[in-house]
Amino acid sequence: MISTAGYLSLRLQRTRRSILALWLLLIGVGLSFLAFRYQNVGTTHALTGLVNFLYAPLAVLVLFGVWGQTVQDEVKGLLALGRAEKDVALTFVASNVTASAAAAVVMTETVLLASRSSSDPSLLSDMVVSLGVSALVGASYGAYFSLFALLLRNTRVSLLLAFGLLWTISSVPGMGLLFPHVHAVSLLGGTQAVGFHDVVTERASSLWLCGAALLFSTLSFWRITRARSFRV
Amino acid sequence: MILPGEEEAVLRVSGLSFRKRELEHFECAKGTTQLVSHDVAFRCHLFDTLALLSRPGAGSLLLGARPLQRPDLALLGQSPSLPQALTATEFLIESNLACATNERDARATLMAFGLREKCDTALGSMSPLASKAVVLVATLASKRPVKVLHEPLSGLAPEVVPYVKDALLSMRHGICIVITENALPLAQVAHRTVHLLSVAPPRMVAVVIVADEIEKLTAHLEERKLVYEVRGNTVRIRSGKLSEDLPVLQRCILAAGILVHSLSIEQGAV
Repeated sequence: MISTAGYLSLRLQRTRRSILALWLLLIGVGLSFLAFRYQNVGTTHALTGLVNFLYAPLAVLVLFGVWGQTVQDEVKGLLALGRAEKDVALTFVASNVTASAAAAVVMTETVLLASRSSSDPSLLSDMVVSLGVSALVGASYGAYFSLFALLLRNTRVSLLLAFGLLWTISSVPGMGLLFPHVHAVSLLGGTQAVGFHDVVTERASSLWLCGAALLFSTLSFWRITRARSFRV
Repeated sequence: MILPGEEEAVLRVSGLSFRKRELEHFECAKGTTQLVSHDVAFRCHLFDTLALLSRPGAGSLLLGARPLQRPDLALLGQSPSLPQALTATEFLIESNLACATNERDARATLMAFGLREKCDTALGSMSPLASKAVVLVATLASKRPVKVLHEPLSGLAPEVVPYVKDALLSMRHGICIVITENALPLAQVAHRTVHLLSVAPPRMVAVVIVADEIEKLTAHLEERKLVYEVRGNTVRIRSGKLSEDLPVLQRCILAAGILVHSLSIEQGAV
C-alpha cells in the first residue's frame, strides 16, 4: 500500500511539466537579473526586494508545484484512499513548509551571491545569517498559504484571499507586524526596518516567525483532521 | 467483517429523525434499500447519518447485534474527490475498500463495468462522469458489508448505468446497499431485491377543474376537513397520508359531480 509521502512523490513524477523546478529556475534567473540591477546600492536592497515581492509568490508556486492546482481535492483524494487523517495532514503541512523554506533559502543565497559588492561584510557570515532568516520566512509563508489553500475548494480564490489579506493588512500601520515580511526585512537589515528594532527586537522577530509557522501549520493540520467536509 | 449468523438482518436502522421527517425503522437483510425523499437536506442528513459522518440525534444503527462502525462501510458521496495522480487500476488497488488486491483483479473489475478504456487513465485527467463511475465501481466491488450510495446514478456516465444495475442485482448475500435518492431510477432493482422505503413528505394534490365549479368542490372538502388552497382554476389539497386522503378526495369529486381536467401529486411524489 502506497504511503502518503509515496503518493506525493508519485504525483511529482507524473506532473506533466515539472512545475516546481521550472518556476524555481525562472525565478532564479529573474532574481539574478534584479540583483545585478541593485548591485550599485548593495546586497541589502536586493534582499529586501526579494523579501517584499518574491517570498510570498514563491511559497504559492511551491504549494502548486507540490500539490497541483486543486489542493483541497488532492487532500480529499488521499483521504478517500483510506489514509489516516493525521498522516495526510502531517505530510501536507511538512511538505509545504519544508519545500517553501528550501526554495526561499535557495533564492536568498542566489541573490546574495549575485548582488555582492566589495563593501559588504564577509560572504560566509552573510550566507549563514540569511540562510536562517530565509528558512524561517519561507516556512512561515508556506504554512500561511497552506492554511488558505485548504479554506475553499477553489484554491485560486483561496490564495487570492490570502494575498489580499497580506497586502491590505500589511499596509495598515502596525498591522504589518502580524505578517512575516516585515520581520524578515528587519532581520536582514533592510531600510524599512529603521526604528523597527526599537519596537521589536531581532530575537522577537525570529520567535514570531517560528510561532507563525507553527500556528499556521497547526491550523492547517486541524482543518484536515477536524473538518467534516474532508471526510467523504 | 460479516459476523456468523448475520445473514438474516445485516443493517437495522431505527428512530432517526431530522427536520420533522422521520425514518422510523427499516431492516436491510440483503440487497438494496432505497430511501427516497424530495428533500435535499433530508437526503444529505440521511447519508451523513448512515455514513456515520454525523451522530444521529436519536435512534440507532446496528449491524447484526453491534453498532455500525466506519470499517463496515463503503461510501459513495455525491461528488467524490480522488487522488488525481493515480490511474483507475491503481486506485482500486490502493484504496482501503479492499476491492482488488492486484492489477489483474483491478482490471477485471473495471472491465466488468465497461470501463476497459479507463484502466490506465489517470483519475485527474478523466471527466467527472468517468471518475464517479470508477469510485462507484470501487464501492460496489468492495467486500465491506454495508454500502451507502448517495444518488449513485446522478452524474454517472450513461454507458455504465446498465452494469451498475446488474451489479446491484447480483450482490451476494449479506451485503446491504442503502441508496438515498430523490426519485426511483433504480426502481426495478429495488423491486426485485428488497425493501422500497419511501420517506414521504407532506404532499399536495393539485386538482384542475372549471373555475365555476370550484365552490362545489371546496364545500365538500371543508365538510371532510381537508386542508386546501385555491389558485385560479386549481385546487391544491394538502395531504399528510396520500393512501387515506386520495380516496376521500375521490369521494368529494364524485359527490360534487364535477369534471376534473387533471389531477397531479406535487412535491416528492414517488
